[in-house]
This record gives sequence, C-alpha cells and structure tokens, in this order.
Amino acid sequence: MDNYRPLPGTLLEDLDTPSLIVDLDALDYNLQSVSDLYKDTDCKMRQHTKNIKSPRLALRQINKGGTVGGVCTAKLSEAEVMVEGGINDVLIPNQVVHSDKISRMCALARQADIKVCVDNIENVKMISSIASKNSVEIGILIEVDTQMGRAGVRSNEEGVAIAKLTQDLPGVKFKGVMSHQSLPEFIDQEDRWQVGRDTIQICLDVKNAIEQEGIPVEIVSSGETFTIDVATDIPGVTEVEGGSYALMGHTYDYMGYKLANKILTTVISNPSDCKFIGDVGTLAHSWTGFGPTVYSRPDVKVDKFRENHVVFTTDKSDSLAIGDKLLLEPHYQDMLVNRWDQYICIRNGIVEEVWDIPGRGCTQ
Amino acid sequence: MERPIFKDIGTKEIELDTPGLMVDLDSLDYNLAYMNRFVESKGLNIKPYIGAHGSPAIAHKQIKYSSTSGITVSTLGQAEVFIEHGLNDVLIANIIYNKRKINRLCALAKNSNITLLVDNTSNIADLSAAATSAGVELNLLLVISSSTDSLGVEPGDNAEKMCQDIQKLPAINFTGLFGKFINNYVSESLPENNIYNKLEFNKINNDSIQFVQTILNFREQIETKGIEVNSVVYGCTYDYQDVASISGVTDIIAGSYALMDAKYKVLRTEFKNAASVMTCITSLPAPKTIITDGGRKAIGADLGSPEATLPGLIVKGLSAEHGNIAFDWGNKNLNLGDRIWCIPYDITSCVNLHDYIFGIRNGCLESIWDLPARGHYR
Repeated sequence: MDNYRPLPGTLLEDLDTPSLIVDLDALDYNLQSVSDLYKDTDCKMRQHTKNIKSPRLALRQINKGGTVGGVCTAKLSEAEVMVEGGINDVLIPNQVVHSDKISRMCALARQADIKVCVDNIENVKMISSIASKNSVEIGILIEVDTQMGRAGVRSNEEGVAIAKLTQDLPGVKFKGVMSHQSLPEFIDQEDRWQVGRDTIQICLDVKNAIEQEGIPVEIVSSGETFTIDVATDIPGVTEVEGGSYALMGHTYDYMGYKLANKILTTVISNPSDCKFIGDVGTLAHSWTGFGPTVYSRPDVKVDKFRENHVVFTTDKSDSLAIGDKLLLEPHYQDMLVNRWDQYICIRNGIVEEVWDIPGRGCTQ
Repeated sequence: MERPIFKDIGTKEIELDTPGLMVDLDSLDYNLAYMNRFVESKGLNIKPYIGAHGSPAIAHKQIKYSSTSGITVSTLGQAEVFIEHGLNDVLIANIIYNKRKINRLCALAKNSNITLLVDNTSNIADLSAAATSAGVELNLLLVISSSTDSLGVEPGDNAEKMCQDIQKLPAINFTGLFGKFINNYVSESLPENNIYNKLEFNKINNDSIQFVQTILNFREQIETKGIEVNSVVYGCTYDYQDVASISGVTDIIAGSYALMDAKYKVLRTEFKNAASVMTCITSLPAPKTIITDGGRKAIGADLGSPEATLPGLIVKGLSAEHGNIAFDWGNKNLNLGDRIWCIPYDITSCVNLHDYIFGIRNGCLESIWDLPARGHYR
C-alpha cells in the first residue's frame, strides 16, 4: 500500500500527485442534507458503502442521523470490513451463493445483524442449512427485478414462494423486499419522480402479494439512487440505499449534492501548443465512457486518457504550464474510489485528515 | 485489499474463491520462454513492462533470462516496490517532476540502477542538481514524441540541445532515446472498444516502423555531432516483432505478452492466454441469462469488455459489481455457484484491481502471488 500520508496543515497545492482528495465541507453538506431529508420520515437512509469503501465515512452519516443505523454493501467481503469498522447492521443487496461464502457470512452474523438478498429457492435452503448448523440467523430480503434485467425475482409468485419457504426453515428470518434500478439522467424532476414511483411499485406489488399470504414485510429497501428525494413520500418504502450522494459524480448532478471527491493532478509535459499532459490516467481514475471535468477551469478540456496520463487541451498556449496543478471532477465515482487506499481530506484548501479506504478491492 | 477465502496449495481451481485473478502457469512459462527465444535470436534485449502483471514473482522469472536488461515500470512508486523485491535495474518510463519525487528517485539510485525519461530542459537541470547533491547518478533517456499530444519532444534542434545539456550536466548520463508509438487511449469522442482494431493492425504497425525510423535518423544526426547513443528503447507487445527486425533498436519494451488479454489474443497468436478472472454464477433470473459476481471492479472494463472463455457465452455487459452474460447451451443445465472465466480486455487495467494472482497448473493451485505495487500511482 502506498505510504503517502501528508500531515494535517499541508496546503492542497503542496500535495504530491496524483492524489484522491475529499472536500470535507462538501461531504458534510451532503451528509447533513440526507440527515435533514430523512429526519422526520418513516423512510430512512441505508448508505451504500460500495461508493465510499470506508466504515469511518459511513459512521459519519450514521452519527449525523436520518439512517436506519446500518449500511448496505456490495459484497460479503465489504460487509466484513464494515463490521470490523464498528457497524453492526449490514444488508448485502446481492446474492451470496457459494457454501464457503455462506459459512463466512454466518461467522459474520455472530458479530452483527446480517441480511442478504435472495432470488432463488435453492440458495435460501443452503443459507438456512449452514446458518442453522452455526446457530445463527440470517435476515432474508427478496430481490425484485424492476426491469433492469439483472438479478431478482420477476413475478409476484416467485417472491411469494420464497417468502413462504422462509417461514418453514430454521436459521433464516424473512425481512422484506429490495430492488435496484439505475436509469439514465433525468432533467425533469416530475418525470424522474414518476419513473421512481412506477419502478418502486413493482417491488411494492411483491410486498403486497407476500402480505396477502399473512407474512409480515418489515423492510422495503429501495436501491434506486434517483428516487432519493421521492421514496420518502411513497407509502411502504422503509429505506433508501443511497451511495453516490456522499462523494458525488457529475452523473448525479440533478440530485443537487456537492461534488466532494476530486483527483489532484500535475501538468508534467507540454508536447505541443495548447496540449498538456497530466500525471493521472485510466488506471488511477477509471473510465466509464465519460471523462472528468476540470474544476474551476472552463478553459481546460480533458481530451484523452491513457493508462497513466491525461491529455488536456486549452484555447491559449499559456493557459497552463508544466508544474501547474488541476483538480479533476469524476463523472462516476465508485470505480475511481475503488482504486485508492487513502482519502486526503481537505477543508479550505488545507489537509485536515487522511482516511484509509479499507474496503478498496473487496470484490469477493 | 481483496479479502479472498484462501485455500491450501493443491486445491482445485474451481474450489477457490471468486472473483479471483487466475494465471495458468504453463501458459505463462511458455510465453516468457517464447519471447526470450525471439529477442535472443534478434540479438536484442527486453525490458519487460511489469505493469502488465504487477507481480515481483513474475518479474523474477522474466529477469532470469539473459536477454533481459532490467524491468520497466510506469511510476516511481512501482519502482520503489519492485526494487524492495530485489529487482534493482529499473527503467521508469515516465517523467519524474517534483521535489518530493526527485528526492525519492535519488534515494533509490543509491543502491539501484535507475533510468528515467526526460522531455524538458528545466526538469533535466533539476534532476542533475538533485543527483549531484545526493551523490548518485541517474540515466536519462530522451523521449521522442510519436504525436503532438504524447510525452516527448520532436526530433530536431531542440531535442539535440537537450541531449547536449544532459551530457554537460553532472550526475546525469545521456543513455539514449525512447519511443512508444502505440498510442492507445480513451476519449469521449471514441466509441467503446475502438482502441485496437484488427483491421488497422497492419497500418498501425507500418506507422510504428516509420516512427522508429524517425528516431533512428535522429540518432544518426546527433551521433555525427559526437553525442553517443547507447540505447534506443522502443516498442510494446503490439509491434515488437516488426520493431525487432530494424537494426538500431537495442531494447524492446513489452509487457502484455506475459499474461495476454482479449485485445491481443487475436493479434498476437504466438502467445497463449494465461490470465482470466474466475467468477461465480450468483443468479439465474431468466432463461439464457447468467448473473455473476464479476463486474467492472473485478475484471475491469475501462478500455473494453472482457470475453468469456467458453463458447456459447457472450458477455452482455458489466456493471460495477455484476457480470451479465447470455448463454446458449441447448438444454445443458447451469447452477448457482458454477464458475465462469472471463478474459479481461486489457490486462494492465485488470491487475490494477487485484492484490493477488492465483497461479494454477493442471487445474490446481500452485502459488499465490502478491501484487504489492497496486495503487502506487505516485
């Protein structure tokens, strides 16, 4: 692991590059906004740690309020990191199917309240068998495919069958339903809210069908980022899985949060007029089809990304010089954070803290 | 860090945790031996680019061959890690530019043979001053730019002046010239998977050969002025064969040949595919649809989509945490937990996401190798 840990008080412009920077004022604004939004609602935030990979950052939101008191994680290994970091309520909105991993999930359930999503009867039976052998209980949510074409049950009947099965099995406790959907950007808020309501309704239909069988549904977990501000008004939704809002990428500009994570880069070469090369490339930044934008420099455009370099173009040949530092704002941030071991946290242009990113690389 | 469930040496590959980066050791050994035979037959040296595997264990296999003249890395941080792991002849194929980095560079040069790239006069002066006060010597290669937006300088009077500067200044040695033509990049203006196009292979190869010739002409120009050029360092896995036939190139850089990937698989058929990410079926939500635990964070898709190893499987797309694969296997049954292997499109992007390589021979685990320089971007 890279051992660069600048001391508190170091100026932003004196930092070595490339570095992953977190603007604490922007982060705290985002966390406080969520806390305010969910303070007085029945629906609460369950922060998704795939976007932050840090229990410390997740606890910052939990302590501010507005949450269910726990998180959700993309994978079991990420859940382990969060539990080690002091979080004791974790939902894995994903399938854990292999017997080795289920054994490890059961070990984790001795230390924390662990819930996992399922969409398959055989999977539920295996979880039940291993959990009961280990004398632990795993919370079960049914994943519902709300037209994303990924995992999840695709009919009310499938959902009801799984929910009924859990009633007869030891080691598992039926908790509710969950869905995830990501949609293209919405300009118009009304359109976005309407799609949000329609999407979540598919999940609520499964919930209603299960309740008609006399099985109580405690949790309806909505993983649709774009419903962050409308899910609170949809009766029956108990929690929202929000991830990107904390550090933000420009994909989600419409949500109104502040962009808190940036990459600091140095111009290291000026091979020709109005072309400049920065010291960060696809390896450290990631690439998902959209490049980053340059913070507060509309005159500097990101033209190309190579493995270890970025090419900037400018209108004037003296707009930049070798040694200049620029801040890049990502379009989509979770692939970026997953490549770094530390956040260098800045307030007012000065390093305040350095936080580890212990969930980085936890894909298992 | 990755947190796989570790198993004992000898465990069957399919019993290992997923997603995991698997390397077939017979294929790896074959590739390294093939490349060694090739460069030896051409009377050249190779400086393997270790960014394409990230493993000191593999780097040590590579330098055992007499044709190897040290390793190539792309950042100072990688150089530090690989030197710590006993690889002490290192070319840093990059510009090293600020005080903190130059001090680290000079510290490394106390016990290792360090070569790096330059393309700027004031940087050359900074390196000389720092190396002088540290009492070390640095070897510099001048980068000749292959395009108007690549590192380097155009061959010409300005470049010649830089060579003379390097010769005059203390504690830095002018070692030679460096070029890299294959200018792969991503841009919003390019469609995905447009980085390497087989149809353009011959054209790019021809352009690359022309570019080497430009470098060699420049070499001639400065040698007539009494500037001695020991090395011309050039190439990559894409164009190594044709470059090697040109007299005047002394060292070839190539990296991907060791593990290979989907983008080179069709172009460089003399090498065997050694790397794949083993993933697990986590959901079978509908007919002919497989969802796996191998998404962009495990396989990498910055430069293009991976390929599944088995015929009949088509990678439809990767999201951050999931793979979405279509299959058409008639009535053959698939089960949750079954393994699916995916060949990454770009091996360097893939290894940068992993902390371990699982070495497999004859279907069983033989070695677990750390990738300790991962994330050392500085």
